[in-house]
Amino acid sequence: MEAFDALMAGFGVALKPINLLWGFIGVTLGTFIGVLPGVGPALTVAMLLPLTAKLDPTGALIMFAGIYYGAMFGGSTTTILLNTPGESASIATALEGNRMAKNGRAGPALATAAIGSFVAGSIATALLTLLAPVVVDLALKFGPAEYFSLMVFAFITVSAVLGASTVRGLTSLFLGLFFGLIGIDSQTGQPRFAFGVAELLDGVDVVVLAVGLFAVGEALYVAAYQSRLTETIETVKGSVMMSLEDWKRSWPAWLRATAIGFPFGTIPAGGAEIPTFLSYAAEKKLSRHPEEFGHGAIEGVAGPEAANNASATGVLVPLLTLGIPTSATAAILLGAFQNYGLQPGPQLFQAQSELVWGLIASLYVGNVILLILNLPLIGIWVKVLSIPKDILYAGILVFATLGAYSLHQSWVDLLTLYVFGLLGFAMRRWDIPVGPAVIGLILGPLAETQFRRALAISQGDPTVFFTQPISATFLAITAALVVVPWVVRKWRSRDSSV
Amino acid sequence: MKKFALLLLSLFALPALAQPSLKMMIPANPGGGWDQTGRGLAAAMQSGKLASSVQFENKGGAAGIIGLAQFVNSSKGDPNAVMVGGMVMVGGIILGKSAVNLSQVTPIARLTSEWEVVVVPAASPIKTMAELVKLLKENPGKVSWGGGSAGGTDHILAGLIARAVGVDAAKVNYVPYKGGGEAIAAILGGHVTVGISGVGEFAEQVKAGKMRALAQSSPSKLDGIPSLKEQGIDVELGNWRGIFGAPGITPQQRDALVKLVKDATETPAWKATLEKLGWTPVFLGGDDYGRFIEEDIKRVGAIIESLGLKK
Amino acid sequence: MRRFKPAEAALSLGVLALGLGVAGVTATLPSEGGYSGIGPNFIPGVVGAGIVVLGLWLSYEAFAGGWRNAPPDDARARGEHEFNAAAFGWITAGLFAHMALIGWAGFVIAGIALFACIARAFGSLRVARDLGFGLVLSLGVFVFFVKLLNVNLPAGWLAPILGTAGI
Repeated sequence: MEAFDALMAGFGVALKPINLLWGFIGVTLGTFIGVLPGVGPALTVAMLLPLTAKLDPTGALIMFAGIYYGAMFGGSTTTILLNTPGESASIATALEGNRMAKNGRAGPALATAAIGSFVAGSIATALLTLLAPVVVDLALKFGPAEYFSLMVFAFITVSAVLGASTVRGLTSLFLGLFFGLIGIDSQTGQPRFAFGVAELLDGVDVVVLAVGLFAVGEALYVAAYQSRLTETIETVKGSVMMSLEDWKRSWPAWLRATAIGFPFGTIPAGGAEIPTFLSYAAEKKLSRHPEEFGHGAIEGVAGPEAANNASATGVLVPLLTLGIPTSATAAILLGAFQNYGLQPGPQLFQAQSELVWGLIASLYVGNVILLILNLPLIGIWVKVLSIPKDILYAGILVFATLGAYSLHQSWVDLLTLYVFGLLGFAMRRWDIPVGPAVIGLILGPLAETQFRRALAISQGDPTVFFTQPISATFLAITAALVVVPWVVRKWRSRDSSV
Repeated sequence: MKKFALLLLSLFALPALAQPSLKMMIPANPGGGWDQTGRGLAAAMQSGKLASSVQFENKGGAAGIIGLAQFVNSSKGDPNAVMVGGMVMVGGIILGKSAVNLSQVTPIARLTSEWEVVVVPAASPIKTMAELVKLLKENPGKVSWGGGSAGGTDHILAGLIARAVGVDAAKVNYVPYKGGGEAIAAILGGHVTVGISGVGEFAEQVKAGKMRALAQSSPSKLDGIPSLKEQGIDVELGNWRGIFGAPGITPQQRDALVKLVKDATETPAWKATLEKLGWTPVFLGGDDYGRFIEEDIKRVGAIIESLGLKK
Repeated sequence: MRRFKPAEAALSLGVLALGLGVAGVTATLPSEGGYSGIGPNFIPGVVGAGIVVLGLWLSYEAFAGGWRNAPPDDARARGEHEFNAAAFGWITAGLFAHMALIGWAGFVIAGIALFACIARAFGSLRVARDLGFGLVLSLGVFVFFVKLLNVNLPAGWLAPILGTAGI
């Protein structure tokens, strides 16, 4: 009950008119910067953070919460409209979201993203309030062996994004795995595939890969094959709002995605990539319209977006209770909290309960402001699609190159961007799916690291993966996922042949 | 904007300007230790009216090698160009097989040091450093050390401790994590035996009683934690940070920079920065600093080799 | 009946060559893995082998009737026009001009060149308008990001007018 009172007091402060104003300013700025193609939430938050420094801690916190949610939603907007995800967590959204936009359904796609983010954010905030101390103990049980088994599980599950041809899907995955190998080996410090180029020692940045494959690849493809088409694409078909059918298909996806996203956010090496892709895979499996996937299925937007937001809230559990940032954005959050005088760590909830509950209330209020501000804006965002192509793509590429250049202030990253652009062009032309490459780049290095860590700790004994209960559970589920459908198919085919 | 234009003009017209306008290379992205060092020092210079303006360039990545390469290549002979750097760079140069190294820039001054701490989770049966050493001697493979990146300060300390107690440094079972934060989870969860990081990184956990600090790497007792030396392990290691000048500047130009930095470290603004970030001032200027770096390169190089990392 | 397509064959062989390249580099990596027994060359070996296998598989498909379920080569069947080499070239030229210019001429000038080239690729012939739009956009971005948000972008030739980031 004490927590409840503290939370209410937090709301009391967060709902003061002046603080609400800061919240609105934060959401607006966050959305408008986050919406720039190639500029992801981490970069947006990092850039806007100094603006909050001049406010008192409560005002700063709520403005910050606004920036955070605004940046995430802004990123999803660009992803859906322009197929240019600025961070790894919105790549799953790009798969169906941009298809919807191309079919003239950008409005409902943006709406399901906004409302789904709100629903997931609200539930996740409530879970954060109630469960933070319990969840964190469970999360700490995850060691290298558990992570590795989880990665195996994720790799198998995301085979749902492999696409029309198994061999081309696998090729994409392995290309991603290869890109993930570039740079300094985390376990021994050995440079691999960097060929003496200092910019490559840190590895291929997922932003460069995503922006290159999607934004630059898209520009090359559209210019090469579609620039002379005269007929205008119908930008908005039907209502910009969601139909009843859209609602019916979206809400179960939101809830499932929240259930997937929040726990992943809480484990101390989680991040939002795995849950967004898992949610995509789950929706594809469970949908009553699987044939729509790849052509703009609304569940494929609703799920990953909600999962992204739920995991973004889940990330606060290890961040607040242990002081562990689990994503790039979380690392910036940690710095911000310290600036506001919050010292995340095991003592935080006791020592600074007022500020913590203020933060949680701020996050909730920021979430509401986001919804209020962005639902009416959807009609305006959709108009971005009617900008003439020459201006639109020229603008996209100015921002895309800005994002890549800001990594090391070096032309090498721009060259890498172009190379990935060529790859993206080829992949689109010959129908090689892009998703697996991104998954390979993100999960590959994680899986390798955890595999080798687990074996180092066990001194080379591979049975650790089976003897530790959580790890063994994941492997068993994975095995079941592979074997059960196969057995069912066999059984059915025998059945029908009789 | 006009002000900037005028400044630039005056820079060409009056090279012997009383208050120089510095260009500072920070070979890391904004927010980290080097960035805080550089910006804190610049603020101190301005508060003491020692420099008229400081322009920053952040160029992060690869333990600072990318920024170092740019600094070496583009600021040759520029008496107003400085760069932040530190111990992490020493290891990074060796492991990254960098074409540029610290002997190509001009040492100006060492500024700060952050000491390292050795911890175990609260539930660990290991109570003291002596017990840890005993375990390490019995079976070095069974003691897994969780800390920052391979070949970084944390790894080097693990190697130095092992060597000091007579265990082959190559036998240390070091498990690198992405940084102190990720390592915290592994330590709290009991997935590794021991943890190593900067004192500040684990301070909250130690205060809350979730981790037990066994020793730290400063010369004497610190925050109630005994030093390694006090416990008979002859190891002292600070994650130092300092300032470098451009390659090929004259001794007079170098001395001017040393004096400028020294004056800056005596301002109240700098002292406030140190206080806020919990850093120990370890000022060392000019030639002394140069000799210190040479020693450190040798020491770090040798230990990295004995850790079995340098191929 | 599907026909043999040179582009598919070239891509397949490219994948195969990449796999062999990865395997070749892997052979030069050290294998000691300390207590884990898994050295820095283990996973690269697995990945390299995988890419080789996939390259062979793709090549087999390409030489045995073409890739399965691939999009039609006839552009009209895809609802598109024939490959527009000029447009592709303009984008490439724009990105390389940007790469070359950003370091010394600065962000704004590089941005103008990039903008104009991309607009040209999409069929715009109004060069003056594109240069103007490019200037407004890159200058706006520069002022906003560098002056307000302290992001680090090179001013280059325009440094005397724009100044640079600093305190």
